[in-house]
Amino acid sequence: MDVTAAWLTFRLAAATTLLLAAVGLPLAWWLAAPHGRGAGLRGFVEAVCTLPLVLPPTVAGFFLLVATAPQSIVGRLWAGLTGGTLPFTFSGILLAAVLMNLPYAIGPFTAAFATLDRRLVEASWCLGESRAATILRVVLPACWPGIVTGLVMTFAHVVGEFGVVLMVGGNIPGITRTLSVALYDDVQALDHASAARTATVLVAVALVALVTVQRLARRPVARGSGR
Amino acid sequence: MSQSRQRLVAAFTVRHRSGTTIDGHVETGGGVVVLYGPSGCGKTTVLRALAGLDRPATGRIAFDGEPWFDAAQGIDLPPQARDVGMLGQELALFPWLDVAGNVGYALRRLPAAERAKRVTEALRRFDLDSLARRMPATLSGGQQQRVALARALVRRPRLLLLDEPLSALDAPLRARLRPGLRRWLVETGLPVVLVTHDHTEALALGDAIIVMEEGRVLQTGSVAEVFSRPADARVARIVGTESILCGEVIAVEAGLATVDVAGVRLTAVAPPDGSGLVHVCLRAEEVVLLRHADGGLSARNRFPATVLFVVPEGPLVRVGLDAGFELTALVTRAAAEELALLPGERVLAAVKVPAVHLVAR
Repeated sequence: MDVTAAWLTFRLAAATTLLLAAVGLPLAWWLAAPHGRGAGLRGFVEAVCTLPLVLPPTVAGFFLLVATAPQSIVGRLWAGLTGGTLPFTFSGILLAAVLMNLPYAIGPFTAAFATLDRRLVEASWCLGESRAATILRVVLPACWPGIVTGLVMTFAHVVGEFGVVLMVGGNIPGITRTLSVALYDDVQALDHASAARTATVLVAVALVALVTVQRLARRPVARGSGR
Repeated sequence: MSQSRQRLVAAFTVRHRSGTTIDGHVETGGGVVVLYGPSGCGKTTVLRALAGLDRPATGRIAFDGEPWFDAAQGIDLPPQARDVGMLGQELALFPWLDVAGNVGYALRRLPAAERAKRVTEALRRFDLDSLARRMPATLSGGQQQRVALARALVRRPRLLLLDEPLSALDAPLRARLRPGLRRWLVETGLPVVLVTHDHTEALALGDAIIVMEEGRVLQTGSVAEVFSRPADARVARIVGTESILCGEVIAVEAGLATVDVAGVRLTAVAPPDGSGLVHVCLRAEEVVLLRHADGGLSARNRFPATVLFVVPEGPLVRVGLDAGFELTALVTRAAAEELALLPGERVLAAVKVPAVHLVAR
């Protein structure tokens, strides 16, 4: 197994999960808001966030490649900010992974926030807790299974990301060659022993993730039982 | 803490997205003020506006002279800054915290020792000592309610707001908890605003009452005053005066009015504003039923009636009557049996003069 690829894959998955926690949690909070203005906009944003679920990764990868090309708006902006380019770099596949994995994070986050009993939040406010403290003391305890599910699903899915990484990142050892790309290489090179080891690791990661998520889902989160 | 220093003065209008508006008029310097009216009349909205959870479109809410909300000045304190104890219809206990954790929730900033002392005090006061380590889901409805009350009061709020505090409980439990709740509310010494649609609850818990319908305040006064002297027919219907009849004052003599109701003459205390068409309000509890004319009865108003229906209601029996107009009487089971009340039977209905309440139309 390609240890460099394994380390890169781990870094990519961890960074993507962190970024999606930072971006996804506030976004999901907004999407799950119970009423009020912007219902139409919310529906559209939710659809865009779900798009990667139904789009073939090669299609998404192609658009990302074009959109982040050095002459593109995003490419020029990125060059202005960092001096570098996005395609065929770690930053490029990180951006691709964040976008492609939006639904795996946003979905469980939004579901958790939508089932949150808002009366618990209001009760906390009326008990004198600030909005920020209420998020820590009420929203997180009530929603953590959904939040952890989103993070675990994201991590597991990034580990197995293939098409979009290959399209945007190519196959550069130590920079964009993830485990699934390495696996593809092994098979191309007829090194089935190495391929089998890599594949086994990927299956194990996926299984551990799913078992974790299932356990969380089965956990009886007492919600709104205090009538 | 003198009573005058805890004065809530609120007059505001909340505009809902649907376009309906709800007027809130609450003034209290202490005691339990009941916001009373049918479901959906806007009582809860008024309470939420007082708590700072809903923002009124216009008006002003002030406590101790300190503005909590003032549309003109752009003041709108968040719930955290108003220092109210709010008990929603759903008690909203935190399901992941045990009883002690729930009760101590608002005391995070206190030193641990002080916090523990306050929680222990509150638990003892609401008979929750033995339940301190129990989770809310394992408690009965009455216990949950005590936890919610303790949680709201432990931080010593300035104003207590309760939304249908007993509605989540079943009827026997409600009846059992009512006196205790009243005692706790009085003991707090805080001004209390309590929302209910149940007239027994209003009578049992309230000192003053604000009657609301469709977002408007219809009448404000002491509970006894509003229930026995509804300002108009709408209030009478809402507060549960069982029979509201149309009549005409045909004579006034020595402060007593003779009213014609569908051909039956009734005597009542004359309304101050004179004569003409009136609503006649008769509470079912005030209607006495007799089998035969009895010379020993003081009630001046007696008229024959036919029994239309007899409906048992706990220890009482609700009797529907036709006396040329429809009328309801509430009598004990024993009385109903003694009188052999059956549909179609003829009886004599009697009402004392002071129990006939006239509302000018």
